[in-house]
Amino acid sequence: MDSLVGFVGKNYVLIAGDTNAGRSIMRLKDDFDKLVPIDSHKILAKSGEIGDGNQFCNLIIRNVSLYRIRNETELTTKSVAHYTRRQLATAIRKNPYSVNLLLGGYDKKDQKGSLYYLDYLGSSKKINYGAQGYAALFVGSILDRFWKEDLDFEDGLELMKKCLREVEKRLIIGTRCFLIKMINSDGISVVEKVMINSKNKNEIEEEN
Amino acid sequence: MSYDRAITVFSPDGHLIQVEYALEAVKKGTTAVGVKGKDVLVLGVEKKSTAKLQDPRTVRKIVQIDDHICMTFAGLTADSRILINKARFECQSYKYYYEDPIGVEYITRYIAKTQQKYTQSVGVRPFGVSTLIVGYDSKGFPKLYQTDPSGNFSSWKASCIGRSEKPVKEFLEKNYVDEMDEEQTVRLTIQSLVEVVESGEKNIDIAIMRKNKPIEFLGRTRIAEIVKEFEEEKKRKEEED
Repeated sequence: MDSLVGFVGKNYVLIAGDTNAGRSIMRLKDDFDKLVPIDSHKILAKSGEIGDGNQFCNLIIRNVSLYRIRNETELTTKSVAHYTRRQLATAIRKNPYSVNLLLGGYDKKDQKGSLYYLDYLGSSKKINYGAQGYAALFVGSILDRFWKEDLDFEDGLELMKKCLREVEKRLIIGTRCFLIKMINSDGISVVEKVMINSKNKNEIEEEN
Repeated sequence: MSYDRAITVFSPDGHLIQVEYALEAVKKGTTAVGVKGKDVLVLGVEKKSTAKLQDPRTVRKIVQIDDHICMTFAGLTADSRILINKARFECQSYKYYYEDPIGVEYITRYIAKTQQKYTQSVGVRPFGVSTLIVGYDSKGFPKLYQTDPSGNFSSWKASCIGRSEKPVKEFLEKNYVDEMDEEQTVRLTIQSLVEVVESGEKNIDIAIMRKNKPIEFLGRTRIAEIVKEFEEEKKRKEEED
């Protein structure tokens, strides 16, 4: 039910997540922020069990902070991805966390954004574009076709909206509202909170 | 029977000799000063003169425990590392459970509790460290706390630990006024250290903790400027007399 989409552009990373939080047939919350900031330049987008997501993200955030305070330097996105994967991998055969993640981050040293795909079994892969949840079924082909390296921001946002439009159109479980965040050299910023209604001939109403 | 062998043993006149010896170790350490202003906290430390071939930047006495809390210490540096590590972990642990940043008194209590534990355990010795902890409490007031090897802690307006504790404390008691602004607080801290630090302003580190801002270390040139102003003032006073 959760949909997360992300890709890397020219000196930024765009990540979008739907804002639904539900349990079985009930929608509990429609303004749920699944894109959690780990530090000033990294987002952990979580999908799956809500409780596990909260606990796990909290754990990662606190340990990344502890590293920062202890060593007076921030971890790179790659390091955080590896650390997160390690936590998932050691947990899977003991007390598994039912969370699938997209980790997006911007490293000042390389001046590049990067995106990682992590799942609850402990797999981790650096990707240029990807998605979690049912969105992955629909969005994969769109990104395969239209993603290019070094997309500038406007084109990237257009591409993201194209993906989200497709998710809204084809996913039977209605999820119209998405939150799009961007990470670049200035840090994390909320790009838009979009409400998509594909019946309106691909028009997108913007919230906020 | 020697009453200083194991710390778990009281001496006949009610002293824990090992704890008192630990306080002696603190008195051998380089001086650290903390001063509380109206809305600012300043820490000053005397740095041990580094050997010629040593990189001075690796000798850091003022450390951050969390984004909003700093501390310094006097005594055995290696012992302080343990306390600092534990404190840093505790800060993150607190935030993990309560989602709120830790309070200054809370972490002070924790550090003091840790120090006390080591005065009442088998096979360990007390930490030879006194600490000065600064931060802002939940109401936004600046707070300065001191702990010592016995596990005592208390809040101070201005305090000093380490080898020049006595003269610096006397100086602070004479010259401290309530509600000082940032400039006055910094000057008082520097002045109190300059009196006692042998090698002058090159071996002083000053850190300023402002509310909701990261800690700022005062630059070398600025410290040198302020010290120069003191010396000129002193000269003028002497000439007048």
